[in-house]
Order: sequence, then C-alpha cells, then structure tokens
Amino acid sequence: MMNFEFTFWAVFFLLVGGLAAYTLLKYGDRRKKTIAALRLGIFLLLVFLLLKPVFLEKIKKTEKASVSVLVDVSRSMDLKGTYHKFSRVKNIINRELLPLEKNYELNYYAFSGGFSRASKEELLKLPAPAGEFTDLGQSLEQAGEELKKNSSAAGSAVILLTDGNHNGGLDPVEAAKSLNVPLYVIGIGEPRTGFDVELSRVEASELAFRNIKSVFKGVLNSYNSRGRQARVTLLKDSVFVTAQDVILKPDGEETTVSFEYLPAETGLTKFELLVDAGSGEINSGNNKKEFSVNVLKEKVRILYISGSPNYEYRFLRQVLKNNPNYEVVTFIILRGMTDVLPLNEIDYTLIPFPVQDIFTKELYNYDIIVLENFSYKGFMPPEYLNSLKNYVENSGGDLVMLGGPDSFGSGGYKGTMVEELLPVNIKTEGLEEYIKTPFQLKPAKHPVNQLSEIKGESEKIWEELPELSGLNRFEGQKTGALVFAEHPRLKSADGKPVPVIAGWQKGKGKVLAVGVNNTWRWSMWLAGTGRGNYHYGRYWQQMFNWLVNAPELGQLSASAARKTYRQGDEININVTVLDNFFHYEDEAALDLEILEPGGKTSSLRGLQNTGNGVYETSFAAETPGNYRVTASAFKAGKSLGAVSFFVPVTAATSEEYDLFLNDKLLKNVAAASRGKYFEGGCPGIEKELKLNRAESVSGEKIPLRDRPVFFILLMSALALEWFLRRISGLL
Amino acid sequence: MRKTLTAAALLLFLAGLPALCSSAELREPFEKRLENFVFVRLKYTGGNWEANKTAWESLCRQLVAVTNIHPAEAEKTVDLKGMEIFDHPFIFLTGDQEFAPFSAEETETLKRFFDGGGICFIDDAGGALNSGFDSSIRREFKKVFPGPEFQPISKKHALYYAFHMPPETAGARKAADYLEGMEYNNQTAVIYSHNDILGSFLTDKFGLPVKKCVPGGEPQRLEAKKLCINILMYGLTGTYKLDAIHRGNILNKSKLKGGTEVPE
Repeated sequence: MMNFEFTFWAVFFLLVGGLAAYTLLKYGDRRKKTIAALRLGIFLLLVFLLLKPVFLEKIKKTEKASVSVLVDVSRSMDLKGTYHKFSRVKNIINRELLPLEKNYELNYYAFSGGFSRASKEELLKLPAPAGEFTDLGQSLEQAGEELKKNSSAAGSAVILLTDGNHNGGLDPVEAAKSLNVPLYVIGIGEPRTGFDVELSRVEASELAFRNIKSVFKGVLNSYNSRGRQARVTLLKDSVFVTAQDVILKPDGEETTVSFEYLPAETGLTKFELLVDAGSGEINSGNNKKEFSVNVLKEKVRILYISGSPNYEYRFLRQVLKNNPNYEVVTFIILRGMTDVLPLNEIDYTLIPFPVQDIFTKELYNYDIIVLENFSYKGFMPPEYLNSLKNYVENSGGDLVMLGGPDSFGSGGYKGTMVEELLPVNIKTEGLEEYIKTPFQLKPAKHPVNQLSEIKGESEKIWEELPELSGLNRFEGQKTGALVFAEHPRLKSADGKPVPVIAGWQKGKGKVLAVGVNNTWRWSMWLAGTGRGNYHYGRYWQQMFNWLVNAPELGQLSASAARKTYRQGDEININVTVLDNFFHYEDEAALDLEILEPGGKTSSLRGLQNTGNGVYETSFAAETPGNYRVTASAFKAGKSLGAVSFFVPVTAATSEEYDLFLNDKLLKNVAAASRGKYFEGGCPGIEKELKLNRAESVSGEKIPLRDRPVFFILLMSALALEWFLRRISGLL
Repeated sequence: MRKTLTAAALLLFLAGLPALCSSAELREPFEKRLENFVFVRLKYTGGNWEANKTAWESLCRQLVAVTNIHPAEAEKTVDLKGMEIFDHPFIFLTGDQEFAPFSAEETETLKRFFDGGGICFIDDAGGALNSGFDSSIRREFKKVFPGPEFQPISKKHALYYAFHMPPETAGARKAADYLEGMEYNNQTAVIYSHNDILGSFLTDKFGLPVKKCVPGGEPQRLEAKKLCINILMYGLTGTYKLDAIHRGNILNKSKLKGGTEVPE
C-alpha cells in the first residue's frame, strides 16, 4: 500500500501543472506538443517525488512473553522437613523453569521483607536464604509495578515460589487481585498433615506490681490435634513456677491458658512459656516463647489523718494523687468535739473516725501513715499508739508527722510511743512553743531537697521560697537523725540549729518529722514568680521517694530507646547520671555490661556524653531473647551507682520455626489472580503460559523517493526533451 | 439591755440556727488555734467588688459553729497587682455589676494563681443570668483560660458532698439550678454561682436576714448556706470524698434519704 506524506502540496502542484499542460497542448504543432507532453511528465514526476511517497508494509511479530519469577528467600525457606525448601526451589528453576526460556523472557526477583531483581545464577548460588520476613503482599505489589515499567501487562505472567509463610502487612490475596496478570504459585514445603501445637503468642502486661496478682496468657494453635492434651509450663528465670494441662481445641480455634502469678520481687523479670504436647508432634520449634515483665513496687498505700480541713492537706494530696504509684486514704476531722450539728447526722457526709480499727489492725495495710496536725487525745487512749512501734520497727511501715498546733508535743505525744519513734525531741504539751514568727527554711544538702538538676538552680529556688509561719519548735535532733532542713536562727540546747524537717531509719521503717504544715505556700508563691507548681510537687515526691526507698531517687537512670527490639536491630541506650546532689553529671565515666541471651558477656566503656547528664551508646541485637544491660557510672574513682535493665529482643518472626506450607493462602492467591496453584513443582506450566503468548503486528514505511529508478526516469525524460528541442532547432 | 439580748437570742433561735452563737462561746480562743482559713475577697476596678459586704461575719460564725475550719475573723482583700494573692489559695470574687477589664498584668497574675493550685469562687450577687457582672466574668476568664469554657458542675461533683449531703443549688436567688466550673490543674479551679450565695448570709445587727430568699424562702436559705460551706470545704480538702471508704458511707446515707447517688 502506498501513501503520501505531503498531500497539501500535491493539490497545489497538480493545479499548476494541469493549467500549464492545457496551455501547451492546445497551442502549437505536433513536435511542440510532444515536447510539452515530456515536460508535463517531468513536472508530474517531480511533484510525485516531492510528495514523499512511501510504501506501507505490515509485519507480523511473535514476541517472547515476559514472565516474572518471584523467589522467596526468607529464612523459613532454609528449613528442612522431608526436603530442604530452598533446594527444591533450585531444582524447580533448573528443571522446570529453564526450558521455558526458549519461548519466554524470564525475569527473576528475590523477595522476603524486601523485593529486588536477581539473576538466575545468583539464586542458584545462594547458599541459605536469610530474609527476616515473608511479605507476599508487598512483593506482589512491587512485582506489578515492575511489570508496568518493563512491558505491557498483556502477555505477562508471574510465577511465585514460596512456602506461603506470610508475615508481612499487606494482604497477599488483595495484592494478587490488583496484579492483573495470572499468578502461577508453586507452593514449597509440606502441608501441615501431622500433629503440631504452636504457641502463637503470650499476652502479658509489660508492668506488674509486687504482691499484686498478674495474669499471663498463652495462646495456642493446634493442628490435627483431635482433642489431644498439652502441658504448658511457666518458668521464671529458667526455674519452674507452675504448669497447666489443657485439652487442645480443634483446628482453627485458639486454646488459651491463663497463669496467675504473684511477683514477690521488684525488677525486670524474665519468663518463659513452654508447651509440651508429648510425642508425635512434627515440629517442636514453635512451642516456646520468652517474655519479660517489669515488676514495680506495689502501689504505696498512704493513710493520711488530718486534724482539720486545711490547705496543706489539699495541696499534698494533689501531689500524691498525681503519682500513679500512690494510693491515698484520708480521714479529716471536719468538725471538732465541741462543734454542733444543727441538722440530722444523715444530712452530713461525715463518717465516724474508726480509730480502733485503724490503730490496731488497719495500719498494717498501709505503707505510710501521715499524721498532720492531729491530736490523738479525745479520740483514743495513748496505748493505741503503741502499735505504731511494731508497725514501723518490725513491719517496715513509715510514719510521717506534720506540724501544727495540735501536733508533736502540742498534740500530747510527749511520753507516748510516737515520741520514741520520732527523730526529734519534743516537749510536753503546754511547754512546746508554737512559733508564729515567719522564717526562711534552711535546707540541708541532700537529694530530697534538690529542686532542679541544673547546678545552682536549686539553691536559687530555695532562696525564692516564701517564709513559713507556724513552727513546732523541737528540742533538737536525736542521735542518728538526718536533718533535711533547719531553722535559720533558732538554736537547740546543744547549740545546733533547731531542726525543722528531720527523718531517720527506725528499725525496718522510716520516720519523718516536719515541724510545719504550710508548705503549700511554696506551690502558690513559686507560681506567682512564674515558676509554676512543679518544684513544690517535686519536693514532696522526693521526700516520699526517700521514705519508700523508691528507685526514682537513684542517681542513675537508664533505658533503651524502644521497649522492644527485633533481631538485627541496633539497640540505643540512654543513661542519665546525676551527681551526689542530683545535679546533671557530665564528667562521669560510663560503662555498660551486656549479658546476651546466650550467656555471652561484653562491655562498652566510656559512653559518649551528650550534655545534661545524658550518655548514649548502641549495640547490635544479634540473637533473640532478653539482653541484660548494666550501666555503671564513676567519677574520680568513686561509684555514682549502677542500674540494670532488660532489653527484650524478639526473634524476627515465625521464620525461625515454621517449616510448613501455607497451601490454603497460596491457593487463594492463585485463584484471586486467575492463575493456578502447583505444589512442590510445576509440571505442565508451559501449557498454561502458552495461553498468554502474544503476537504483535507492526506497520513499516518504505520510502520510494530515494529509489534509483525515479532518478533514471527523470534524467532520461530531461535528455529526450533536450534532444527533441535540438533536432527541432529550438535551441 | 437585757431585753435587747433576749430579743436577739430569740430571733436567732427563730431563724432556725440557734447553735451558731452559742457554739462560738464553746470554742477555744482564736489565738490558740491555727487559722487555717482566711476569707479573701478579690478587689477589681469598677463594678461592685464588695457586694454582700458583711456576709463573712455570719458565714464565719457558721463555720466556727459547725466545722473544724478555724477561720481568721477578719476579712481580707487582695488585688491582682502584687504577690499577696499567692498567700491565699481560695479567693472570693463577688459583684453585681459590669466591671473594668483586667490589665494584661492582672490577667497573668490570676493565671499564675491557678497555676499554683488556687481556687476561685465567683458569686454573682445580682442573682441573675446574663447579667453585666456575668459578661465581665466570662470576658475576663476567657483571657485567663483561652481554651476551656465554663461548664455546669455535675451534682455528683465532690464539692456537693464535701460536708453536707448534696444541697440544692441555691442562694438568695435561684437563677440557675447549677453551678458552673472550670477545670484546671487537676481540680475545679473556678466555681461560679449565679444565685447570690453570699447574699443568703447577710444579717442585720439583730441577726435577722437582710435579703429575702426567693422563691424558696428560709428552706432555700438553709440550702444556700449548706452549699456555701461545702464549697469552702472543697477549697480546703479537695476531692477526698471520692475515696472508696467515703463513697460507701455516702451511698448508705443517700439510700436512707431515698436516693442512690454518690460522688463521682
């Protein structure tokens, strides 16, 4: 078929040529008419050539269809049941896919967590697949994108070699649907035909409280179990704790085993759940899970008894309530012995003060008892106070006495058991001075008084604190007492400043005496200066932390940047160091001891300081399990403390142990893409692929202008025309 | 003279609160007690910041008579210009008229007061909704707390249970059956009454009520006084009535009174 590319000009030249030919042929003799005809022929030939004539030639082509071969290189492909999965993949490539190369263009890709182009040779040489995940969905999506880039989807197909141990995020069935090319899925591995129990997961809170029951749940999935039993064992630090026998639920249903555990010690504790399903289980690699729980001291229960409604109580309660580790139970004497009740008892929310119960039985249910401006007189005989001695010295309870005109000596405590417990000497009622003259509290250098980590800042804040008025003047401190704050001017008989806030260890417990009860002014006043109420809260939190020996009062705190890590990750550790007075310490030497799950130890010395007392380092999590990390800080040869914690590192996925074939999933994937599922090999796959071979027809343009015949024809016509004119004597 | 005293005592008795004066004689002298409460009124520019000026005298007597609050007898006034307000974690803001806007410094001072843990009780002495005082209050507190709005306080709020079993929401007037409040710093930092609660305490020199309680008469006055004491008690003790041990007791009393509500 011939075609012209210059049609517009053709019309123009033909019109001009036609007009010229008409004129020549109409006027003149025979010879002239011959010459004119020749000239017209030359003109028409030139016009023809100017129009760029081409021949259109249709060419039929049969292209090699593009086939993407996706090979699973995750770790589960390195497992061996009756055959080694990846060796089977290599066999399939060599024996069944290689012959396809005659007619198909095979493009190989390796996938696990990622997806990348690979050559057939690279795959055949791969000794052991080691990918951490099998993300079928993501891989199919990326395969689709590759197909779009490289060729049209028509005439393409995808062959997928995998065990179907999908543990990625994207749904492979949905990804297969949107691929728009048929998927020929070759399942590698054996379907789960034997009996198997898998401990799929452990449900346990990361935090637990000492002496408060925690529940750990193990979730089991069983296959071909037919009502069989399994024993689930809980281990703590590899030591047997308890075990339970369970009847396994039918396939497809989860069996849950619950363990109640009462932690007796604080700290991060490593647990294991083990499943023993007896003999005949085809895979015992999926019967164990490790987990760790950080056991905290149980909630500190505080019994707060206030002699009257007052701001000290409201502010202090707010601080304690803001700490989730504290639980406060309060009794406030809302009306005095002489106050009247004009209405019926039922019209008040007052409840009787259960003195006898509290001071004989209930006090042992509390960790701290606070007596604030509370005089026992009128409520109970002094003998009731005797139980406080046992409570503090033998049971390890803490006692806090806050000041006020009804407290200490003024509250009648001289000569009672409370006097013996107090770290300060008090006077008999009536003789004790209750001083209203305002004074500026003078703090001792002690961590509880540290109101800021920034050097010099705490001292500045103490200077800004308002004066306090209303002081229970103590006689002095007892031997062994720790004075936290003293009066700036008043002296005791021994010449020492009068203690205002003092504490000590008394037997197993601690006792704190605070000769004032209007520290709430610190909160208000500091807020007035624009500092907010943080420092007030911090002071009392630290004081209560001192009472209960809370770890928060330590100079070292350390943690990993994340709660859990996966095998292969880099674990980032941050350690914050404070000096003896709780300022940021940037000149300490920091060492890290790492105990790996397998028992191997290693050390990192001289951690890098990044300012504000923070030191950082990192190390690789090579094996799954709990890493015990111990950070130790030193300065000038002296220890600033050490702190230990666990970093749980999880095995990447089920890649480690799942040797079975997820044929159900793979069949669904193949069906979703209108492809076909094969198991263990792909005989006859070429038959399926042939359906997708593509023929294409393309048109080729062959130009006529540059053919020599037209040149010769043109030159001959010109020569003849010249010759005719010559013999006619027209030249 | 004797006749006058007898008449005064008789009038107080008839007022239904005979214990108020007699109990004052039983209490210890003020100087021996720790003053744990001062009635502090916030002074502002314009308007009538001294509304119900003598209410404290009567309120003080009642507090001393029936509670273990040991108040300072003298009323105190603070403004928003200095640091004195930070000595008093509970302040009264009263008025019945529109007042001048706070300066930026005053607004900041009030904000810091709440930062420190302060509580403010606002009482509209006009006893009406949408008053000029009300518009001034909303305008100024919007400056202090640009985010939160005043919200009605639930009848299950701890302040309704702080001393008396939940009283009616009333004052010398009953413009609204609710108190409004604003939450800040983990507490109800602002308590706002439209009912002229302090007006119910006003008495003349014979101890007779000055303002008539409308519409409920003397029973309404009693409820107003109970509510006022609960608010003060809340200012001193916070929300401890929400503790389980107290909730159980309150539920029992509530059942005896035919109700089932407990603080939440």
